[in-house]
Amino acid sequence: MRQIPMVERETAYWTTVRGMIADLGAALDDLREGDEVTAIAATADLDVAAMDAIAVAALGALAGVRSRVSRRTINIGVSGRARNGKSTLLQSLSGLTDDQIPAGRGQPVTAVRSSIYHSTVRTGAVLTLHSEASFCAEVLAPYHRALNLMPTPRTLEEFSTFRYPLTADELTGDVGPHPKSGPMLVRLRDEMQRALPSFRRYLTGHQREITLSESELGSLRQWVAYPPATDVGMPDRRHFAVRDATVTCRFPIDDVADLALVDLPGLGELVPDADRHHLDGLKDDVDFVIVVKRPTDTNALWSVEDGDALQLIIDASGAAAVRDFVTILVNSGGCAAENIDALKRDIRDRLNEGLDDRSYNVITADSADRQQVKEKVLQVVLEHLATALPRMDADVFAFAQAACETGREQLRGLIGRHLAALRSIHTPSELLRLDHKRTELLDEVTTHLHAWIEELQARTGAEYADQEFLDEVTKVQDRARSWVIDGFGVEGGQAAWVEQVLPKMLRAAGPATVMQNTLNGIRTEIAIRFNDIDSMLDKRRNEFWKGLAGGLGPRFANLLQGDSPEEVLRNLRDTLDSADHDSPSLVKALDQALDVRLDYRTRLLPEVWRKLEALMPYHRKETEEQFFSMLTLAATAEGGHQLFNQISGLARSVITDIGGMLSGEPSANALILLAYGQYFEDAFIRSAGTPDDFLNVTTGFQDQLWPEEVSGPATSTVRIQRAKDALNHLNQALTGSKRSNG
Amino acid sequence: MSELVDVEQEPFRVAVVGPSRVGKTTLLTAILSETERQLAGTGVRILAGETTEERIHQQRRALRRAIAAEEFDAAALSGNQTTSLYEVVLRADSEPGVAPQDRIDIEIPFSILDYPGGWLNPVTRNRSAEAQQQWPACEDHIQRSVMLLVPIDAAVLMEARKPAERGSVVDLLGIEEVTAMTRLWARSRKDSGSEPAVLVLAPLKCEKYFDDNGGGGKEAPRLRQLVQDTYRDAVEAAEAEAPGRVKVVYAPIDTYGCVELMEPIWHDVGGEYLEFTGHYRFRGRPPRIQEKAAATVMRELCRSVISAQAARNTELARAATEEQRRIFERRYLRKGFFGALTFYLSGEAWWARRDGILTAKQLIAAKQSERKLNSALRSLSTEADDPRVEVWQLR
Repeated sequence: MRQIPMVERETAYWTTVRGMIADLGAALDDLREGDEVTAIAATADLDVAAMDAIAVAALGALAGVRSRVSRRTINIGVSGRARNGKSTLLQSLSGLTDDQIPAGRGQPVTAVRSSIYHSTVRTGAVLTLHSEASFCAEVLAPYHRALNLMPTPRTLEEFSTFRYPLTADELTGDVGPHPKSGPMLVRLRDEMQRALPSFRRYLTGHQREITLSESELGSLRQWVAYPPATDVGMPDRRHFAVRDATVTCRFPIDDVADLALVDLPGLGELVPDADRHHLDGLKDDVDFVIVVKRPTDTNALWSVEDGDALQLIIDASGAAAVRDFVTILVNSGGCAAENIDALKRDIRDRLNEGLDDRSYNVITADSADRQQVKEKVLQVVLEHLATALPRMDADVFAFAQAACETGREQLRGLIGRHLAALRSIHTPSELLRLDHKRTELLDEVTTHLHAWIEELQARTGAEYADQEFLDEVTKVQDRARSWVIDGFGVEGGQAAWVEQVLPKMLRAAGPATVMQNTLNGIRTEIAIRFNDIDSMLDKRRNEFWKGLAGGLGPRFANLLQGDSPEEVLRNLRDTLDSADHDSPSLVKALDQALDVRLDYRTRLLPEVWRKLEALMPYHRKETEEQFFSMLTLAATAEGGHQLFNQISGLARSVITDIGGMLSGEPSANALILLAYGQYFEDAFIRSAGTPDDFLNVTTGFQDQLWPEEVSGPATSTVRIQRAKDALNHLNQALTGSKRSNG
Repeated sequence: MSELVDVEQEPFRVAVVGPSRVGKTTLLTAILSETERQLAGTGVRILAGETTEERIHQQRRALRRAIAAEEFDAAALSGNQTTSLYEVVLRADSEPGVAPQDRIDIEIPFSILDYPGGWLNPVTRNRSAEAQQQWPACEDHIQRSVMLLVPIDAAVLMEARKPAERGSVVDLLGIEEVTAMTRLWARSRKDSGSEPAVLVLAPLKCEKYFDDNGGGGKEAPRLRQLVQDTYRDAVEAAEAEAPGRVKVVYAPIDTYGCVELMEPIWHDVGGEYLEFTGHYRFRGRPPRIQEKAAATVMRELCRSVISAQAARNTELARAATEEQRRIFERRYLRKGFFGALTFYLSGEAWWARRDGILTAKQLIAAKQSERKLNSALRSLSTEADDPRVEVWQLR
């Protein structure tokens, strides 16, 4: 029992190793999908399935230990070919009768593997029934395979309508000798198919259990045994529906507790896969096996079949020594003394190589005689087990340990060479890889931003002409000038204007009011008309944003979305801001770049207004004489024309001045935008937070920034690295385990 | 006295270099008008020669027509293709009470030569028969000029806002020719001992950019800066050729005072540079001509004369021996500036021109005129400069 923690630990460990082997398998599959030929070649013969088999074997050995040491009962298996007294022995040991365990004569009777538990308090049985599917797969399929009858029915319906050959002669393919195939065909066709109605109702869709109470235990026989040959009509073959039976009853042996008997059917029976079933029954579940041999006149010698059956048991003994695990019971009941002696002699001479009990203990007793069984069989076996069980446990445990260690060695051997080969292919660590990517991204952004800044800088040169802007200024200027010349917006031009203002001049007995009002109107109109330049400023700002977006380089372009440059940058800002990994410096830089102010009202209106002050009468002492002189104009048509000429001349001068001032605007804009650009460049690539921010952007947006690396060299690197990592993890697990266990 | 005969016709010389139609006649008109105002009450007048007078009259008639039409359009600038000689005299009339037969008018003549800057280039000269013929006289005039006057179209400098416009300034203002001319002139000044050397940079059509003559412009600093930048090479050439000798006077002049640029017009006529014209408007009602800083030219000439005279007297006073005095006298009696100086300011001019023996009345009248002229010269030269005018210190 003290081994349990170790077994649990090792089981957990090997389960983890299996997971790692699965990871490795996935990594290698991935690697082989790529085009990194060196790495593929280096791992070409790394057999993951074989590695998994090693882990499975280790887990199997550990499961054996766990199963043994955690079992609360001593399980004695009873084996023997049919008609040797196996069931009789079970009856003697368990106290059950023919009603529960038939021990008929002349034919095999035990149809189902049963376990019989000794209990002083409870009597009853639990039957586990097949489902329709498990019946087809576990019962029918082996017969069909053995007899080469295809296709194997998958449902009871298919089974019931399957047309079986009338004789074994009609069977085709490699179906073995007739004496074997013939009876199997008969059982399949005549017993199972014909009797299907008798057990079909027990084959429900699910596996289920039937519990028989003490009073119902009498009916157990029909569940576990072949029907008596005397049955007429449709025999009840419900035993075909039973997968397993567990019987609990009080053994007629008072001084033994925690004892269980396992009925191992099949040996020598003409049932497909009987041997495998036998082994399954023995493995892990049985502490000791009694092989029953009854020396009759025709069965007095240790036959080849006996040898084969014994070998199966030896195979199943696993780590335990055979002598500790098996004993041969010479069932003397009703046998001639000569036959008994002949058998014992034969066993001694041939099986034990001339020495009694050299390899196999031999007990002689009448299995029907409970007293003999109790004294000569059970007591002897229990005494043997008292010393052999701990030894066997230790053997099994040592075996499991050895299996684990061997498994580790094997795995280490398998992966070591490949790991060395993969390690020779240089791949950076994840951290280093990300760092390289960050540097690559930063370098790219730096280069492109610099080129953009140089473009901005070129526009600040004295020789750079923003012709589009200047043309727009000229257009706006010309429109304003035309408006002035064409009568300040009065339809009909100068003449109409004069006609319009003349009554007012007459009413006011002079031009003062008209002059004042006209000048006021002109100021407003000109200020509004030059507002048209806003579209050009807007355009330049958009170009700035577009250039900035381009200046972030082609990788960042993968993150850019939006219909306008402004939207693109705003989206980028929001994307970075809402990312899992912060990049506050970059977000701040973008915020500031988006806050570029380049509009008419902010930039130009104050200057324009200063120029418009020239149209304010009496505003400045230096020019007031010009306005005073207008007041002397007569309130006549000629005076009106002269007033028009004076005012329009002034207005045209002002328009010229504003145009001149705006002609200098492209240079000023260029300087402003250059300043914004340089500020952005500094904040984006040179701030204290830049390195961290770029690492975060690299980490968070790797897929978008390097979309081409779904395939290609970098992916190869990732694939190789993944395979390396998987192998490394496995290697560390195997090496570390050795250290901790060593 | 043979030297005296040689200098009889020698005026004080001024060379002008600049594109034609920059407004040289207007400038001369302005110079005359403003100087005339300043000479009012001195008994000294400023008068133009016959040809010059006719040009001035034509220009004044055109201006009157423009005022009447309320429309003023300046001609486009172009390279000066021919020579113009403007002759001006400062004349001291005899006292009112002197009988006509006793009158002796004392005068100082000034000769202002405007000629094509392109003639400086021998290749260009060789293409023109006129140039080949007149160049020796021009060269002589330049070398003898006490003043180099560079009229500048301020509008061209100030209204060139766009790159193509700025690129046209050098050609329109003939900066290369001005620089070459300045170099040639300054070199001759160096060779002419202690004769005066004044370089006047005179932006014209400045009405729009100043607020001291009825306008509202606030761009005087920008104009000064542009002139400095544009004519830096010329100024440096002057200093390089005659170190410490050239006085550089910056004199932005309103030639009308009532005409202001309204709309500059830059034409692309397919040449190497843009052509410039402008729409101008009259300021005030009615427009009143009010020159500004134009008298600077005359004042600087007078200062040159006065300061040279003082220098001569000082040198003579320092001469300790009779022999030295004789050497100085002989030097000053040579042709050229000092010859003219002595000739006109010491009364020899009228003495030499006499047709026989002067009567006593004539002699008295002549002496009176001489005193008036000297007094007027001093008065003009000591008049305070217009606040716009600056003397630029080199280095």
